[in-house]
Amino acid sequence: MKFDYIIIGGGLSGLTCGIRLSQAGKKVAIISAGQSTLHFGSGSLDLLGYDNEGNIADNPLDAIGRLNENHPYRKIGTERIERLAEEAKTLLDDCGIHTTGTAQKNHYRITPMGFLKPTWLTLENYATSPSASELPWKSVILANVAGFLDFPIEFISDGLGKLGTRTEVEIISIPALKARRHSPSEMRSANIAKILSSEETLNQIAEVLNSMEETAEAILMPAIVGLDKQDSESSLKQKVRRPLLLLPTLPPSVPGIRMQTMLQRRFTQLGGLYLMGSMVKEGHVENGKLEYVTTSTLMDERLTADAYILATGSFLSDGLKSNYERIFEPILNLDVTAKENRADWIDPNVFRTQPYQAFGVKTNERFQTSLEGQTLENMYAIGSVLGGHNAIQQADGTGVSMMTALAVANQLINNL
Amino acid sequence: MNTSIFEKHYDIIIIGGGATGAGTARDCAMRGLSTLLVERYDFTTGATGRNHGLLHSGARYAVTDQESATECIDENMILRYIAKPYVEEHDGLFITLPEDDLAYQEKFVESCWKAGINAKIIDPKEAIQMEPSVNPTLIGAVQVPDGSIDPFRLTMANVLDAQLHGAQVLTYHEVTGFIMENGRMMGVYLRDNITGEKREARAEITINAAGIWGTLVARMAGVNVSMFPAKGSLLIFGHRVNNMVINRCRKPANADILVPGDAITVIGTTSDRVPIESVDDMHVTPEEVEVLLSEGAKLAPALATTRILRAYAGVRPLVASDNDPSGRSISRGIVCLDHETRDGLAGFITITGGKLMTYRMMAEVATDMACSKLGVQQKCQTATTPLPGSDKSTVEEPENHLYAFNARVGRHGTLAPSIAAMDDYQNSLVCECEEVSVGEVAHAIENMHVRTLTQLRRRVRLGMGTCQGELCALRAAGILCASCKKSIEEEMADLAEFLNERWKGMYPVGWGSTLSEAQLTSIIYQDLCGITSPSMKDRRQEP
Repeated sequence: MKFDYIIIGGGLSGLTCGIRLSQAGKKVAIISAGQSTLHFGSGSLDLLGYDNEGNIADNPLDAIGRLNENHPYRKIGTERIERLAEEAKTLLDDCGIHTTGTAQKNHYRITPMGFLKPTWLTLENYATSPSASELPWKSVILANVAGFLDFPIEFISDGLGKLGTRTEVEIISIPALKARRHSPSEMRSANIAKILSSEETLNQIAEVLNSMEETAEAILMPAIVGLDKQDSESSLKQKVRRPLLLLPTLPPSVPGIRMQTMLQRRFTQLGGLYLMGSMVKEGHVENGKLEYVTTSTLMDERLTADAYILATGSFLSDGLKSNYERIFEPILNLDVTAKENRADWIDPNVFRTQPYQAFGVKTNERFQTSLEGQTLENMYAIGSVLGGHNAIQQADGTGVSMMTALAVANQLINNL
Repeated sequence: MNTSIFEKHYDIIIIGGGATGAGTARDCAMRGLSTLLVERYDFTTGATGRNHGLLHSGARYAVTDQESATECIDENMILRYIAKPYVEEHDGLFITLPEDDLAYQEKFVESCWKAGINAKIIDPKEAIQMEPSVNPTLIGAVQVPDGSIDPFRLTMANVLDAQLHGAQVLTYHEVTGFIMENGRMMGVYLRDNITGEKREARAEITINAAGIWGTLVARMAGVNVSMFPAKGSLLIFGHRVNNMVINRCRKPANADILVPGDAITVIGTTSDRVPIESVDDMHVTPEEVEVLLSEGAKLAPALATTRILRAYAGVRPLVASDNDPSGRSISRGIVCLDHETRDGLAGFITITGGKLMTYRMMAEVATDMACSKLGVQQKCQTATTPLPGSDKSTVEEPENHLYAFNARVGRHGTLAPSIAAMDDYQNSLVCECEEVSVGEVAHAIENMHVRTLTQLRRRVRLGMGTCQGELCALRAAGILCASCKKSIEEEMADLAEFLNERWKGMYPVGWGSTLSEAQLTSIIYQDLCGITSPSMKDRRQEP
C-alpha cells in the first residue's frame, strides 16, 4: 500500500499532523497502537506554562527565546510558533473542538486538586481564571456526584477557598446514577458520562442543579458530561439557569477522550486511514531512507510513503523504552538523546527534576531523525517522543505535540 | 490524647511495634498483666515490614543452625493455626542447580528430619510440574513445608488482640529516657512524635523489643547489648511468578529465596553489615539490585523479564558473636536478657535476636521472664488461641454477594464481616488493584491506628498493587481528610510523602515498565493535578 505520508502514533501530535496533511489533500495513514495520552488530560492545552527558571510564563511567546537551545520550540522559532499557534486553534475549531485562549497570554486552569496552572487553550465550558492569584467568582457551588471519588472535593473546595472564592459543596445524584453505584467499579468519569448523555438524565441533573439556592454566581461540576461530542455539555448548560462550568477530574479524562475522538473523526472524514490497534513490526532502511514499514495487523503488507512521521509518544506510551542497560527507540532504534549511566536517568526525590523526562529521539532543525549518526531524510519525529524539554516542569507537553506536528506538516506540504 | 493512659501504673511497658513487641503485648495482656505498648513511628516500620514474608519451615537453617530450624518448624505449625488468614500454605522447594553440589542435598534432608521438618526428595521433573516457573535445569529438588505470611496483618492482629485483652497502645511515641528509682527502672519518658509533647509512663517492668534499635534503647538505659546490624535487600516483582517458595539447596547465600505472596513475588536477600547509625535510612544499592536479579533468575528464569515493582531493605537484629562479616553464620536464635542479673538493672528486659517466624516464641520467653519477676503464675496461651480474624474456619458470605468480599476476607479473616458494607458509598472502591473499599478504609482508620496513607497501605495493602498508588492515593487522601479531621495542608503533605515513599522503592529499579509507570504517575499528580513539592501551603501561583 502506498501513501503520501505514514504517521506512526495516533495521539495528539499524530492526529494534528495527519489532519493538516489531509487538509492539504495528501493521502495519509496513521498507525495507532492504542490509547492516547489525551486520556490523562485536563481539558486544556499548554503551550508553555513556565520559563526556564520555573517562573510562570505570562506571555509564552516571550519566554520561548530564552528556552534551552535543545527545546523543540527553538528549532521552530518564536515567529513561526506564533503563526502555528493560531493555526492549531483553527484546526481544533475545524474538528469541532472549541477553545478559548491565546498564545500571547496564558490563562489559568483549575486542577483536580484545586491549584491554578498556566495554560494556553481551554475547552469551552471549562472553568478558568485570567489571574494567577484569584478566581473570577466571589461564590460558587461545587457540585459532585455522590460516590464519584475521582474528584477530590475536599482539596478543590479548599483550593477555591484559599483563592478567595466562597465555596458551597453539594452532593447530587439521580436515579440512573444511584442504580449504577451498586457495582462499585462503575463510578468512573467516562462511565458516568455515558449515563449523562440522554436528554432524560440531563434534565434530571439540571433540575437538581436548579433547585439549589440562588446565592452563588456559578456552579462548578466535574467533567463528567460530553464524552462523545460537546452536545450534551451544551445542552446541560442551557438547561441550568446559572453559569455552569466544568472542572477536570482524575483519569480517565472525559474532555481528553472527546478531543481524541473528534480529532480521529475529522481525520477519517478528510479521507485519512486510521489503523487502530496496529503496531509497526519492522521498518526497512536503505541508503539513509526508510523504504517501507510492516504492521502487526496487515502482516505481509509493505506500507510505503514519501515520508514517515514518528509520533509514538514518550515512555508511558512505549514511544521510548528503557531496560537495565539503555534508553532506546523501539521501532527503528533511532538515535536518542539520553544519559548513558542509569544512575543519571532519575533523581531520588520524586519532586525534583527527573532527567528521563527530557530524553527523546534526536532530530535536526527540521525534525529529521537519524540512525547511527546518519540522517534519515524521510523520517521525522514529532510530539512527546522528542526530547530536549521537561513537560512536567514546563507545562508544554501538549504544545510541543501540536507545534511540532504542524511544523513538520507544513514543511512537507510546502516541500521545504 | 487520653491522659489516663499516662496516669496508670502498668505491670509492663513494651518498646517496639514490630511483630515481637505486638506479640509480647498480646501475651502479657492475655496473662492478665496491665500492658502498654509504645512505638516511635507506625507499627511494622522496622524489620517486620521489610523481609520476605516467608513462613519458614526452618529447612534453610537445618544444616547450619539446628536450634533455629527447630524453632521455625514449631512456630510454622502454630502460625498455620493461630494466624490462618494471614498465612498461605503453599510449600516450598529447595532446588539444586548444576553449579551446586548435589551431595549437599543428603546432608540437608537429614538435618531437616533431625529438626522435625518434613523434607521430601522429589524428582526434578515432578518439581517442574509442581512449580512450572522453577529453573528447568535443576538436578535435584526437596519439598518442604514453607509458606508465606503477611507480616503487616499478622502484627496488626496481635495488636488488636492485645487491645481486646486490655492493653493500651501508643504509636508515634518515642522513648527518650527511662525513669530510674533506686537503681530500678520504673518506666519511660516519651515524646509524642506528631505533637512533640513530652510524657511519661510507669511500669514495674519495661521490655525492650525494639529490634535493631534495641541496641540504642539499651544504651539509653546504660546497659550494653551488642548487636550486628545486617542489612538485607529485596525486590518485589509485579506479579506472582511462582506459587511455591523456591530456595537454593546450599549453604545460605545471597538472593536464594523466592517467595510468592498475595499477587506478587519477592526475591531476597542480600546480607551486609551496616553501621548502626545508618539503620534509620536504608537504601538499596545498584550492586544489590544486580545480585538479586542475576541470582534470582537462577531460581526462576522468568524473573529476568518480569516487571520489578520496587526494592526495599530491612535490618536484621542479630546479636553479635564472632567475626562474621556478613552475619550469615550468626544464629537466628532468640536472646532474652534479664538486665537485673546481667547488669544489675532491675525492671528491664531485652528480647532480641530471633526472626519474624519466632516472634511468638520470643514474646513467650520475654513474658515468662516478666511473669516470674512479678510472681504471676498464668501460663502462655498464645500458641493455642487463634488471633482475631482466625477464630472460625470459614466466613459466611452475605446473601447478597458483596463486591470485593473475598479480598476483605483474605485480608481480615473472620473480622471481614465487621467492615461496613451497608450502602453503595461504603462499597465504593478506593483501590482497584487490591480491591479496597471505602468501608475497609474507614475500618482501618477506626480500628487500626491509621492517620496517613502509608499507614493505610500497611494495613489494607492500598497502593501496593501494580499501579503503586496512581489514583487510589488521592481518593484515600480525601477520605482521610474527612475521617481524621486533618487539615488539607496536613493531608497534602501526607500525599506528597506517600508519593515520595513509593518512589523511594521504585528508584533503585527505575527502568523498563517501572520508569514508564513513574512517568504516568508524574503526569497525573504533577502535571494534571499540580502537586509540585511536599509542602504546598500557598495555592496562589505567583507570577
